[in-house]
Amino acid sequence: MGREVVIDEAALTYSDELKLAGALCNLRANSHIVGDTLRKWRANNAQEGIGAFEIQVVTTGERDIGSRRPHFRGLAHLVTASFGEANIFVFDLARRKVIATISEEVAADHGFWDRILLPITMGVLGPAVGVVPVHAACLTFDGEGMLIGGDSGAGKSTLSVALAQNGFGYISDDWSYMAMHSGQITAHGMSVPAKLLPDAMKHFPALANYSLAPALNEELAYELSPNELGAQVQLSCEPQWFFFLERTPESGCHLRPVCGEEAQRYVGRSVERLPPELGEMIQARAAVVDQISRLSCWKLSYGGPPDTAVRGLRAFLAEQHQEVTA
Amino acid sequence: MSSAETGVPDLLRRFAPTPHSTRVLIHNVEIEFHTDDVEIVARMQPWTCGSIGPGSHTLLLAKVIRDRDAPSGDSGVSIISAPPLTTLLVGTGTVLVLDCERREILGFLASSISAARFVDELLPILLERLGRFRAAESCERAVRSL
Repeated sequence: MGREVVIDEAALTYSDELKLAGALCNLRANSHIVGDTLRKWRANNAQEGIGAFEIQVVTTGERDIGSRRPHFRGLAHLVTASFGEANIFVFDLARRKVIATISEEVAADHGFWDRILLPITMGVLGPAVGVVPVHAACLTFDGEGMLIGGDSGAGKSTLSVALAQNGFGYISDDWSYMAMHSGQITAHGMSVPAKLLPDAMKHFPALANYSLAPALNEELAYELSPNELGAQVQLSCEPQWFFFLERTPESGCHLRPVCGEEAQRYVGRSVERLPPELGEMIQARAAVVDQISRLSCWKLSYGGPPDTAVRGLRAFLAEQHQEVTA
Repeated sequence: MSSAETGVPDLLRRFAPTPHSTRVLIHNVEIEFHTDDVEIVARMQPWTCGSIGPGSHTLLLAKVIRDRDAPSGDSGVSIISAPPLTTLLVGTGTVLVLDCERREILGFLASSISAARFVDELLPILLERLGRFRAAESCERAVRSL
């Protein structure tokens, strides 16, 4: 037999409390390297999380050989993820636990944890801790949160960046993590870089200063920190609106109301199916999705540059606000 | 329900059907085995111990999927031991997880792993781990009863 790694809890001498998408995470490791890398996710002692889980990490002396091409599989309560032979993660939904063996390079790689592993962890383990990942951007305006859904390529990221450059608060451009907190539906971001496709250059000339690189799905894209794009980044909000983005060939911006079932169908299409063994998690997820479907849902159709949608959305929100205050 | 029926892609292959099943007794462990690879069932035939019937006792449930999309490789076997889970890997394409508490083996076999290698080499490694776990459990129970 080849190598064997034993994850002995007594040898996991490093311990820290993290907060990810509103959930508390007890990180235990055999070295401080991962803890240093994840320092920005540390929870304040006073903070309460919506659910709790544990990550146990053993950093081995092994070096990364070859690519870190991701490979995922799952059966029942277990999901495995590998990024090359040296970096293996096992997600145990029943025990709310992740076990991992990783190389020192990965332990110290901020980009790997922030862009890839932590969002994947919340995507996979989310149902076990009451978090539902939704394929939608999330922004705020005058304290009001909004989700912007749309299929891949619909322009969620381009519109999010355009909105963020025009006074909207930025939480995420692609995936938002929804949970119930004190009876309110809450949307959380993971501070993942905004992903802009090459054709976004025509709307954001500053992209000329950056290089294209393959994203996790191997698509060539600009991946930039939202701060670099002038965004005011926030970690969470209580959304009131859910906009479904639709591009039209005609220039202009139109909004029309849609029923909450549209939101339910949309979220249902983007969440990973769970096996029947995880019945409680399926029910908990359905309760969160039900709350999402109670948001004010609108179809946002626009053609032309993203500024068209920015102006249209601002006017719509001002009008709605006037109606409420009148 | 298939992915096509729900419109949600089964990216993890959680819902891969396992139309072939058998009940075997290997290394003193009775296994209810489900797979989509008939060659594995054929390879297990010498250890068959009867058809699966309702209400019958099963010590271990195994579900193993033949994964033709997984990366293949000739790497050796790696083990990650984190009780109650033991994860066995060959490269990154073959991954089998034994959950000793729930008495389950769940996993995927890359094309490069033959049915013979799975039955003769990989499965016995996991069964041996289960034996160790059960022995440790028995010791613990005995200590607690003192």
